[in-house]
Order: sequence, then C-alpha cells, then structure tokens
Amino acid sequence: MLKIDHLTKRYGDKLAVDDLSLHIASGEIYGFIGHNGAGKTTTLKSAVGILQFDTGSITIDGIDLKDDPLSCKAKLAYIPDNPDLYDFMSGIKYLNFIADIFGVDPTERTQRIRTLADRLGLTEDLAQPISAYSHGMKQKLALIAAWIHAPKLILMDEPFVGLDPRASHLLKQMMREHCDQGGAIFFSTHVLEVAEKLCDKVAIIQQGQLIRSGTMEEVKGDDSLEEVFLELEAESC
Amino acid sequence: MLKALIKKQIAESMIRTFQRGTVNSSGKANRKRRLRENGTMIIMVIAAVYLAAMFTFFSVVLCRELLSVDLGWLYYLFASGAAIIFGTFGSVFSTCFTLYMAKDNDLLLSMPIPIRDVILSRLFSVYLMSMLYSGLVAIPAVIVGWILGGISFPKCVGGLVLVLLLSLIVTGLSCLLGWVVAKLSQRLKNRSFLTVLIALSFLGLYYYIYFQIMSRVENLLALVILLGGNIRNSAYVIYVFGMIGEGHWLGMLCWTAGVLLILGLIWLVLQKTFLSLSTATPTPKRAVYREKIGRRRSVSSALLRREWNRFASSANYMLNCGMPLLLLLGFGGYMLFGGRKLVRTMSIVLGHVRGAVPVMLCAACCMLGGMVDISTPSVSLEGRSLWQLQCLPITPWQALRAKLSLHLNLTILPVLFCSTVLMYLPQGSTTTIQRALIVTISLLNTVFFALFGLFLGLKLPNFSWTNEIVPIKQSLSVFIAIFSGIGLSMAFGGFFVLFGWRIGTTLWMSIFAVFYLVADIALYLWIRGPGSRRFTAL
Repeated sequence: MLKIDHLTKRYGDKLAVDDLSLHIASGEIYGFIGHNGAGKTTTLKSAVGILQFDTGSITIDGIDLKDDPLSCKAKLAYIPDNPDLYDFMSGIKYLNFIADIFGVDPTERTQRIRTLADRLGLTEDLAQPISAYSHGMKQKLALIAAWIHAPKLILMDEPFVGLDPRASHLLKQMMREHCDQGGAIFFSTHVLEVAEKLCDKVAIIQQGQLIRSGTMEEVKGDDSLEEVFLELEAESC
Repeated sequence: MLKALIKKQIAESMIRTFQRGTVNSSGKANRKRRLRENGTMIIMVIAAVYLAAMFTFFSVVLCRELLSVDLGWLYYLFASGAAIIFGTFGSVFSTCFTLYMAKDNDLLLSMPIPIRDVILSRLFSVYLMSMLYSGLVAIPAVIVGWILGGISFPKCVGGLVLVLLLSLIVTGLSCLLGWVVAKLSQRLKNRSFLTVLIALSFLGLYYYIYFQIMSRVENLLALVILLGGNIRNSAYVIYVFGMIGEGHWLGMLCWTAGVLLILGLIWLVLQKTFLSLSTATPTPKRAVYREKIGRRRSVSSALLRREWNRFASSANYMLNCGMPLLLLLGFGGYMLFGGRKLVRTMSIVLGHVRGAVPVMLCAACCMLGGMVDISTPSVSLEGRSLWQLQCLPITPWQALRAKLSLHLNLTILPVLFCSTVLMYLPQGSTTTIQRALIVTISLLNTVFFALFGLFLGLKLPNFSWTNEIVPIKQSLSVFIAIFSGIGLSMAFGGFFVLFGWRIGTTLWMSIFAVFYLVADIALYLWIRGPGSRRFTAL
C-alpha cells in the first residue's frame, strides 16, 4: 500500500531523513518510533505530499507520489500531531468540506458522520465552531474527517495525544477495523506500550536513519519494545 | 520583568514585518533573508516618506490659507482631527487584538508576572502603533506650521506637546473602542458581522461628530470675522487645543492634565477588567446540530465556500480588506445622484487640462478598487492549517483560484456599478471610446490587484502569526498592495495632468488599459506556473 524507497530529505544543511526505506502492506498497522527530531514527522509529511523530498521514491497503492500526487492523495488521509483545523468553520461544515473535496456522496457522508460522531461522542458539538473545541475534540473531528472518505491508507502523527481514555480505546478499535477491511495504517507514537499491543509491524528511526524494522516479534524478540528502543538509543550514543 | 515583556512585544512586531513562515539555516537562505529584510526596510521607509509627503502637501495648502487670515490655531485643530481619525482607525482593531485578545495571554498570565506588567507591555505596543499612525499626520503638520508660521520657543514646545498629546489621545481612544469591540465580540453569535457593523457605526458616528464640530467652528469663524470674535466663549476647549500648536502655555498645561487624567481613568478600568476580559471564553448561544442530507458541491465550489467562510468569520478581514467595497458602492451612489455637480466643479478646476475629467473619474474608481486587498493576506491566513490544502487531492492552482475568485466575486460588481455610473457623467467632448475605457480600465485594474495581491501573498508569506491582524493588516505584502493601489491610480491621474494630456485622453487611457491587460496576463501565468509550485513548497 505504501512503499518508501531510499527517501532522503534535507533542511538546508541538516539531513532530516537519510536513505529510509519502508513497505507497508494492506491490512497492516505499522508503528513508527523514534526520539524527538528523529525524522518521523518529516517522513510522514513526505509520504502525504506535504513536503518535497530530495531523493528516493514514494508509491501509494502502486502510484508514484511525484508522478501523480492527486491520485495518491485521493487514496489517503493524514492527521498531524497538532490538528490545526479551520477555526472559522463549524465541525459539520468542516466535515462537509472534506467530503466535498473527496467527492463523497451526501447520503453516504451523512451516514458515516452519524456513525463516527456517535462513536466518538461528538454529535452534540458538530454545530459548534471549531474555535470553541478543545484539543481532544479537534483530534476527534480530525479522525472523523480522516475516515469520512474511506481512504485505503491512513497516516497519523501521534494520534493518541490529547484523546481521553475512551476515545483512545475507540481509535485503536477503528484502526484495527480499518486494517481488517483491507486498509493500512502508518502512525508515529511515543507510547511504546500502545505500539507493542497494536502494531503488526514497527520501525525505529534515529537521526533520520532506519535502525530496525519488521514484525513486532522480529524487532523486540523476547524483550519489551521499550527495552529494545532504549537499548538501541544507548548503543548509538 | 517589564523590560523582558516589552522586548517580547518588540520582537513580535519585528517578526510580523520581517519573518517568513519557513525557517532555513543555510548560508544562501540567510543571505536571502538579509536581502529581504533590507528590502522590507527600504519599502517601509519609502511608504512612510510617501505618506508623510502626502500629508505635508495637504498641510502646506491648509496652513497657507488659514495663516493668511490669522487662524493658525484652526490649522492645528484640523491637523489634529485628521491625526486622530487616521490614528484611531489605523490602530483600534490592532489594539483590540494586541491588548485584550492576544493568543499568548494565557501563557503570560500563567507565569509569575504581575498583571500590571502584562498590561503595560501591551500598552507600550499600542502606544507605538498610535504614535506611528498619528505621527505620520501630526509631525509633518507641525513642521509645516513652524516653517510657514515662523518658529519660536513656545511654538516649538507647543508643537512637540501637540504630537505627544495626539499619540496619547489616539492610544486612549483605541483602548476604549478596542475594549468595546472585545467585550461585544465575546457575547454575540454572528460576531464578525456585528463587529463590522459596530465598527462602521463608530466610524460613522466619529465622522459625524467631527464634521459637526468642524462646521460649528467654521460657522463661528465667520462670526469671528464679522463680529469681532466670540469664538473663545463658544468653543473654548477646542480653540485652546488648536492654540497648543501656537505655543499657548495654559492650553498645553490644561490639555496635558486633562489627557493624563483620562488616561489614568482608562488605566484604572483596564486594571480592573483586563483579567476577566482577556481570559473570558466566548459564550454565544449554543448551536444545535440537526442532521440533514445536503447537496454535494464540486471541488471549486467547496474551496470557494471555504474562502468565503474565512472572510465572513473575521471582522478584521472584512473591515481591513473589504471596506473599500462599501466605499465603491458609496462613491457610486453619491455620483449617481450628485455626480453632475462634482463633475462640473472638476471641469472648472481642471479646465486647463483638456480631457482630464474621464481620466480622473476612472482613476478614482481604480483607486477604490485597488484598495480592496482580499487576496493579499489569503495565503498567510492559512497559517498553521496550511497542511490541509497540501495533503488534499487538489492542485495548488485550484486552491489559489478559490482565493482569486473570492476577491473578484466580491469586487467586480461594485466596480462595475461605480464605473458604469462614472461612465455616463462626463459631458462635452468625452467620446464613447473614452466612456467604455473607464469601465474597461476599472475592471482590468480590479483583476490586476486580485492577481497582484495573490502574487505578493505567495512571495511574502507569513505563517507564524499569533494574531490574525498580523497577516491582514501589518504584513509587508498588504502594505505594498495598498500603496500600489493608491500609487498606480495616482500615477494614472496625476501624470495625465502633468504631461499625459499632450498625447490625448483616448491614447493615455488605452496605454493604461494595455498595461493592465499585459500585467494581468503575466501575473496570471506566474500564479498558474511558478506561483503554484511555490504554494506547494511553502
């Protein structure tokens, strides 16, 4: 579903991502772990077409991101670490805007909004302006917006930050359901326990370089993910 | 503590003006940034000189007339009125967002900083803004008064006191009006539209009172000339204010004491209300969500609607960038009913310049149309939510076209109305081609400034603002857009009077029409090509 080959991205003289390669298949929840500034967000933003990368290639469902960015973007949804949504819109206007852009049928979108907003407990607040939302509510709205057009691939940057325990639990369920239906999820997180329980595969990035990746068992063996992560950090220091 | 806060305010102002949204530390980027900063400084100096020159010109005309009838105090009074209007209107909304609705209020209030210091640092910023705006009118006026009216020690002190008092009066007025706007905007549901309405009402009321006072003073002046003067009894306080510029010591003392007393009262009110106002959560009536199946919009329509939602949700955006739309309609309406008289007067005044009337009418319409700058801040207004447009399956051109469309949709009709009215006004030798050119140039000028604004927005973006007033009003791109609008139309009319009439009205207008057409095409091609690529890379 998502294939990143030899991705390299520089900010001026600083190498943010260095020759990174990853392959996320349909049905997989892929966790992306690394310390602050390791290059996780840069990789995610490059994969959704927000950042222009220097070398390498990214393909989504077989389509090259550089060759046909619109077709790629139509297949994915992205939630950044801090969802700065349109404060000047109400929740429902925002969802309708996203649905219009992705060409979601009005009946279908209404049904999806009903289901997702009810699940996340946001229905009552949909008519409120987003400027009045808390961080968690914005996060929930961003989740509904991501799911509203039934994307094949969902990329999320720290999706659990700001969510209450119930919403976190629901998000995990939604992620699993999405992958069970043939979708794929690639997300970054600092919560290693969540990654360990939720992910089918995991990648650890350090100073822009991929230092370990594979199935959870391959990466952590008999240890906990936290132990492996800290060990790898110590080795590189 | 206070020093650190003031430093922060100054740093914020510098960032507003100079910083772009992206940070790059490479040597090439640093050189580019330095170049841009120097360019910005030069442009700002040119704009300040341009404004000061304009006000100096008006001051010279006014001062000569009034000094000839020994009414120097009235000259200072007129200049002060203009400085207060310019200063207050220029800074009231900035004050509202700097003082009461700044986004870092919560952060600062959570720190061990006395509230008094937070208010003082914010007031420092407001004062600088008031000083800048009022000073642009007051300082040239005082200097002209010294040059034409003769300079003495009392007049010198009086001039300086006048400049200082005007900046304080503007600060006080801005604080009061900003407080009212902030207070009302928290309680209203459709607060952006109502804030616009309230702001326009204030402005209307202010102008009404100002002109009432002025007409009263003018009437009294006639009585002074005829009856030997009892003006001091009828409008003594106003008279004394005007006398400050003439070096009237008692006037300086009384007005300084009065202004300081009022500012003291404002300070007390601020200290009492600042905390509750700056930390209040807006409490408009809660909207209830009712599920309904809407219609599916096209991508273009959805993007245009998004731009409209942004425009309509911000009183700042509507007032600062859309106000000339009302001026266009107002001017068109006025000319529809009272234009003939004005055109006759213009014909007499410009009698020695053959064919000047259609050019001047067209220049007036172009000036108002060029002052609409909706498209200019639209790129920077994306702010931290820019990522959304970049990861949606839309082309950059679709996003930029929506910004252009909003500008044009809102501007074309008022411009068409105004120019059509103006087209029928000139009498005598004005040809059909010249009449058609009034409309054509006005429309091409509108398209030009929509495209030019977007071009500036793409070239000079700023996504790191904490207050929307920054991209809307205080950014370099908006600055350039507005002054280009005024400058280009003044060049169109002014150069015709100076030398353009020699080649004839039709040819002069045709040259400008061709210029606008070529510039429109060039800008359109730039935005579709390099501009779109630039938008993707922001």
